Amino acid sequence: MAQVRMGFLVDTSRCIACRSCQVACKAWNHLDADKTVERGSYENPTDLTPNLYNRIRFLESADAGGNVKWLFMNERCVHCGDAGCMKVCPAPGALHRTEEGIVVFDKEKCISCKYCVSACPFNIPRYGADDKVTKCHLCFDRVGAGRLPACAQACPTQTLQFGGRDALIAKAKGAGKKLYGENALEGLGVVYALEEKPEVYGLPENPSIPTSIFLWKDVVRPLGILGFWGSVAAVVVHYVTFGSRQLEEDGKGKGGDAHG
Amino acid sequence: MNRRILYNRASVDLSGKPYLVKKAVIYWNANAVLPDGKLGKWEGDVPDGGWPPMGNEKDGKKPFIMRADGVASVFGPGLADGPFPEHYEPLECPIQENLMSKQMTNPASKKFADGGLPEDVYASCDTRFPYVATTYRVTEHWQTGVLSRNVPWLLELQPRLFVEMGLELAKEKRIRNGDMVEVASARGKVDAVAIVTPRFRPFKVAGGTVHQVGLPWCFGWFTPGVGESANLLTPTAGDANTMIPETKAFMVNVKARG
Repeated sequence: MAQVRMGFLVDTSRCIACRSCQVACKAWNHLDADKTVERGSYENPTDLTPNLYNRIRFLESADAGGNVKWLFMNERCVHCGDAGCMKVCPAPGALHRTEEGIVVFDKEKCISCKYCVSACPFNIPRYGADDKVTKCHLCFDRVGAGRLPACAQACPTQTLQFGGRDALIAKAKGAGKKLYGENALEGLGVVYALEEKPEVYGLPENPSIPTSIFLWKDVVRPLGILGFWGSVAAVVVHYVTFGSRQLEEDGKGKGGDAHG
Repeated sequence: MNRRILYNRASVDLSGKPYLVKKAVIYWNANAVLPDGKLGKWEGDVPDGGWPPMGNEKDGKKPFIMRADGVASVFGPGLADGPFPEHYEPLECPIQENLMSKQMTNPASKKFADGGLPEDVYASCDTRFPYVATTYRVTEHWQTGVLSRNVPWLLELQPRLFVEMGLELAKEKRIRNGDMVEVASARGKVDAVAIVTPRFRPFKVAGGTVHQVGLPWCFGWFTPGVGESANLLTPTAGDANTMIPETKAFMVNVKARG
């Protein structure tokens, strides 16, 4: 079935940091609360955890004149078009893509190797007490049933806009928004309209899958596979061409039956 | 009452006919027969006060039902402290005199100091309590927090009492972001984690510098580890008309906890 690629447009200028998205996600996905401490910021928890698939980053700054900027950004898996985690994952089906373009995980198939952690340009996958991968799966179960992801449903300001990716991007561009992630990594499934440069939000300017992953998956592994099957093919060719090896003692014997 | 528009009967004339029929909010249907046999009822929005139109001498009532005289006004009767707006200083205040008038505080406000209770004392222009404090809500908790601060998901977002202050005050008092500080008023004291932020800036008031701090009032009361309620600090003074306590401006001291 031909399916439009679904995704998020996160318009950070609309975010009021109410964090309904954080709580709604926990409610839908039955995630436990983390014990946090107040450390002099509204931002909590301080990082994504196995129980926290998305969170709001608070970025506060003031210029010399005392004009304060308080930026908020929804941090989560961005569902890359070219996903490093999927690329590197050796367990078939542990990380896979739905027909909507969402990168989802399957704990049953995860073998706890944590390769996906090192392959993610955005530092997203987390491993919980069960040592299995977790991250935002864009509520693929809800999306598959034609509903909004829980976070988008709870968002009161339309910061989290969910829908057909191309349509969302066209609309944001029409409104003159500067977009992050439109083309990077074959297009992120979560495209941001930012108010400042990506670095200010802690986003890589040009996200890319680590070179070692690229080398492994796109060069070494194909070569290895080629080498393996090449060897097999060579053996077959050799067998067909020259037949099985004859031992000297067998003399004029005609193959394996000599030792029979 | 689930009316969509407050005072919606102000949009109709004495007979209940909308002034602007094209955008009618509500109108009087004189021919409708009620179950009890009476004639006439409001159609459209739920009426803000169900009396018949004002043309009815006996039962009609003016539409601004929450005003003493039933009509709209900028200044009008019904307020304990008079019809005209006036500036008064808060009961607890960092300056000696009201720069706007001779009357320092609202004479009609409700005070409780005569009772002699320790929680009913005030300390205005007191060097022990030099900083203005204000209390407020946070998005994550509802009112006093009784309904929300025992929900682990919400406690995860806002885990305990904090006090926000500007960079200048923090520097002066040697308080770093995340430090535990003691906030004290004439009535009580609480421990709170400092959030040092450029969002709070000192005021220039009557030629001097006045610092402000702010605390949420949703913590305390049986929830372990969240700190005490900021309501221990606030004055027991009531607004002249509504008795709403004066929690937005009162005086405290802050100091780092050694």
